[in-house]
Amino acid sequence: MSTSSSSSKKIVLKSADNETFEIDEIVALESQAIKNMIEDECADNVIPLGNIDSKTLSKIIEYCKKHAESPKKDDNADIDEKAVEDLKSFDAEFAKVDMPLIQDILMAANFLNIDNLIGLMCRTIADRIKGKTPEEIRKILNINKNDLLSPEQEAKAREENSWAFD
Amino acid sequence: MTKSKRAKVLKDENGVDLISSMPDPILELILLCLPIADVVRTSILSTRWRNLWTSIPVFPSLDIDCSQVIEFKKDIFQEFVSKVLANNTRDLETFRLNCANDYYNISTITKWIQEAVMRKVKSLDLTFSNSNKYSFTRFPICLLQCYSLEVLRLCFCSPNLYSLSKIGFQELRVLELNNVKLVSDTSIAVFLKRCPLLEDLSLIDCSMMSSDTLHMYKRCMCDLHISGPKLVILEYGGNLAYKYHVITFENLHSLKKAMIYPEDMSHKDLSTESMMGDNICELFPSVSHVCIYAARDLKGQFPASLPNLKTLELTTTINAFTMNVLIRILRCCPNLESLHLLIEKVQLMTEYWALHEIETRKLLTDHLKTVKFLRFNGKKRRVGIARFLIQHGNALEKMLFSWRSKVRYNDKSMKLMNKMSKLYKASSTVKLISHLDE
Repeated sequence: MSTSSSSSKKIVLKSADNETFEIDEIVALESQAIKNMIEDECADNVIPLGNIDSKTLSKIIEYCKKHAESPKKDDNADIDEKAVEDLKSFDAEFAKVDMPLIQDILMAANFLNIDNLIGLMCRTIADRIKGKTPEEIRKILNINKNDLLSPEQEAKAREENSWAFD
Repeated sequence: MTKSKRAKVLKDENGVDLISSMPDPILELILLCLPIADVVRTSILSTRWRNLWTSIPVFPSLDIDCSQVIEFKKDIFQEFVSKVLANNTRDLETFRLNCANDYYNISTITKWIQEAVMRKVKSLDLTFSNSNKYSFTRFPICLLQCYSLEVLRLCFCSPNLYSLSKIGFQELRVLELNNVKLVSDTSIAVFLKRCPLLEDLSLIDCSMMSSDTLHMYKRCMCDLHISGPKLVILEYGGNLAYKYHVITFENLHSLKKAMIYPEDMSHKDLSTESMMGDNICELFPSVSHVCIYAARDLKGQFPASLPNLKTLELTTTINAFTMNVLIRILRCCPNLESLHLLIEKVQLMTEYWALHEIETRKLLTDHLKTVKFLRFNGKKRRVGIARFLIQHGNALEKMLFSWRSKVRYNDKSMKLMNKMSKLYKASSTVKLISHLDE
């Protein structure tokens, strides 16, 4: 799988499961972490991403590609509203994936330091747990059952802020 | 399969609970996207989440509705609200609080408002129901200096609008006040002038200190909701139902007289669709309940029923929308007996009225007993309207033409009477009366 256009500089990313992705440098620069590596000239031809699987990485590249193509807000004060709307609807579509993948993307976006994507994933997770009961949230987020509060601890926590429960 | 793969890739000891293994700043970002009550509830998710939310330095909004909560620790809650509000390192978007009980005294509430104002709050929405014990008649002084306010809804104090009239809110778009005390009838006019961006004004249960009259001259484009069970006279000058701006009236049980004057009608381009505001309704003291129309009632906010309205005087231009408005008014007034029409201009012949619907026809013709044409001039189109009502008005008892000009009055009036008397009449007892206006 590769993404290419004629003359621009290429960066190759390698996922944990050894799949390689050739992308334009401009797309890779959406990641602050990769940008720093390139600027510090410590990036080899191939950047190995040992903790990101190929499924997650291809989603992230899809996101970076779209955002790299879109006009930046600080470039031009009056970018047309259509571009903003277009990006918004792309983001909304992009977030329509299952919770494990969202969490993988969030983890990877945090590692790669892609601020917009971190924000998008956090908003998505918040939207999915909004108004849900603690039990439902544990299920949605797959929170470790071994880590639950003791009944006494939970009762105390509920009492502390009784207005928010019930 | 995928689970084990991910677990291996991420080297997470619990394997599946990815979210809890994320760093605090990420989890805090998630919490910042949640309403405050959801945030607080995360404290019982697991030990990882137990105190996580308390480390969030500052919340952008505080939006709490605990009006339904029965078990309520008021001291802890008060402390919580104060604490969340107190951090003023970041501007506050919203401070909304709805409490069912009168737990908090005025000094506490004032302190909260002060803190919100310090954080340049944009939307302030406070409701304390069952708070009859408060005699908080002064508007919180600190609010008067809150130039950042865009939305202000207060339901707990009885602000005196006079104090508001000294200052304006340059950014205010929405204002809703309950139990407003109006000292002088000009205070609201002054206040409105100083809120140039106001779009939506609601004054609920206004009480008058000096008179029973409310004069309101609206200079800005806004939706206006008028509600006041003790209001006797309402005089309003301004734009009516212009474009998307509508006026709604409710709870006007005591209203005896209402006069509505659209602003600068003469300068309006009557041809545009949005100009249905060009109606003036005037309702005389003889009516016990009053309805004033909303011309383009797109939102369906017209009062459901005004059973006591007996007399309606309507000054209007007849155009494509007039009939719809009129029908809507008549539908709300099942006992209307007398309709006084002062027709300023006719742009549409009766045959183009939207009268094909049976219901419409029935409303217009079945309960009207009296129709008066004020300042009548005998012009053909006006006669057309009269003819239509005679031919279809089953309950009509009296039709009165009040002529405005002496010129050839006898001649013209005689001609009209002759013409009318020859018509088929839906009601056999209808009396035709013609006289010269004083």
